Amino acid sequence: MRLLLIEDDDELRTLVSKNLERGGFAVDAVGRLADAREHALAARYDAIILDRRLPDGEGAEWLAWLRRRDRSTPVLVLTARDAVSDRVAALDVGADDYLVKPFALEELLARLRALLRRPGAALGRVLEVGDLAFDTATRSVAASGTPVVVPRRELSVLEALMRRPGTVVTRSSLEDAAYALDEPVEPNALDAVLSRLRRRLVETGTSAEIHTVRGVGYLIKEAKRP
Amino acid sequence: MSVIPSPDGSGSLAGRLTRRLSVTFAAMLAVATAAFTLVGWFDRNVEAEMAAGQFRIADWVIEEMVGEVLPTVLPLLVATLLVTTVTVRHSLKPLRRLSRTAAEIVPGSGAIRLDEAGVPDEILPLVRAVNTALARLDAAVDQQRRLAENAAHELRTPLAVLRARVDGLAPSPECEELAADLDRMERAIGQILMLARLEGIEMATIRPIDLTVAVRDAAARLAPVAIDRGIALAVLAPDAPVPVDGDPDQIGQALANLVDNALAASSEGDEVEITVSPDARVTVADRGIGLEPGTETQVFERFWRSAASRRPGSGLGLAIVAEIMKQHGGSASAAARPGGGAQFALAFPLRAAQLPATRSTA
Repeated sequence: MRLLLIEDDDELRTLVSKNLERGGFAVDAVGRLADAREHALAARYDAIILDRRLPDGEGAEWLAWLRRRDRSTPVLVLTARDAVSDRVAALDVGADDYLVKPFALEELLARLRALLRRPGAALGRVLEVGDLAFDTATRSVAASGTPVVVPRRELSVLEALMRRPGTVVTRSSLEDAAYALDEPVEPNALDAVLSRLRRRLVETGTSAEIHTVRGVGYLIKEAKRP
Repeated sequence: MSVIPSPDGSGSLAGRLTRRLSVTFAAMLAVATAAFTLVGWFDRNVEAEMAAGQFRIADWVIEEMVGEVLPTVLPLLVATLLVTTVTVRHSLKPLRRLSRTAAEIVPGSGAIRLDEAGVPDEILPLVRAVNTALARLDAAVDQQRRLAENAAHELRTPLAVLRARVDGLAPSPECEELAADLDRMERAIGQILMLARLEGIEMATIRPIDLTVAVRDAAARLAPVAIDRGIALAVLAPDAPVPVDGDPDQIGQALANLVDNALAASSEGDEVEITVSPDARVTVADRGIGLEPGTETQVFERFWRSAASRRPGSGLGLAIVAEIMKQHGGSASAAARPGGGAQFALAFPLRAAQLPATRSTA
């Protein structure tokens, strides 16, 4: 896996490069947007790590340039600003993820792995949470390889949850997924569907768990190992 | 436009002008009426009728007034009033336009300026002075923003270097301690930078929002952390929207700090409850050890930490919450929770007007 690291602070760039290489990546590290442009034109990278502020320009502008020619390379943006609006701005310009400095190496590696996994995973054909797999093409579910029969409405809800593992999916999103526009939805109907789905999953013994956030929504994630 | 002056005496300029002009014209017309009547007196064969013993002044006046003068004067008076009203209103339209624009201005949120086109000469100097002041304010906000960004960058980069170095070391107990120390430093710096930003002149982007939506969104972001710790998060809110003027980012930040504290006070299996009430109050309640009695106001002070607190922290979390509420024109308070634990309440000023879908047309 080849990465392009664009960070102007020399020490930080060297250290992060070394850490990433130890993590199993091949890294091209540059400190200026001009150099970054050359590299991006010359080679294909599996992922790009971009600092927002550089001596010769704004990372966001460089990213806009990149996105005009390349929509698929995942980009993770680094920055010192941590307001929610800054994060949203970065994602709007075309970043796939956003990390605030200082960050732990573990977190950088985890997010890189998630970015690199995406093409097959969350946006793709088979959704996976722990040992639970949902094949969106055949609309079938399996826990540790064993098929699980899931009725239609529960299936739609499960898909919505598994597309965003570890994130809360709001009640209205789930209702949109499970019910057609013209179907009347009883306020407790959704909770009943979730309750049945949760019981079904528990019976399969899967490591994926559905958690309730009362008044907000639900999320699915892999249970922590005891 | 009101023709009757308002209680504080200033009243409407349009009203004042219309009143004065109308009174003046009415007086002029009254004088003209009297003059015409007098002329009529000299015009008639009054002497002849007096001699014939048939003249009565009252009859004559009435006949003169109703028959000749009034049909001419009254329509004129009405027409005058109408023309005055329309002219005054039309002339003052640029002023109303200016005040609508001025009402939209939030310093630092973009270069909104008062339009100098079509402004009467007498007001032009005022409008220009306002625009200059706005430009200066925008520049000051901009400079402060850049300063804050530089400060953040300068503080965070060396920390990032340190963190990267520690991450690169072979794992050891000393390494763990270094990492923990770094965590503390990072958190403290984050809080200090946030507080500095809040206190700067860069104002929050306050706009009409539904408090319930902002709270639910914040809870959705905070829930995964709570679930990781085995603590449940719940939101209780009314079905109807709760309109307030607020900045969802900052409200989210305030809630994050409160929930952070609540989670730290709770144990696995506990629940943290966030309640939104129709009178625009948000409460975060936990079943932890609760507050030290008597410290309910102190906790919001900067760098204040309870002697009993075991966990590392900068002591700024609640100070930030208080500052955010101040910016919203509201308040933050703490109290013991009936049945055990603590509850923190954010009180927002109520908003009388409607929600984002219908903007107020001033």
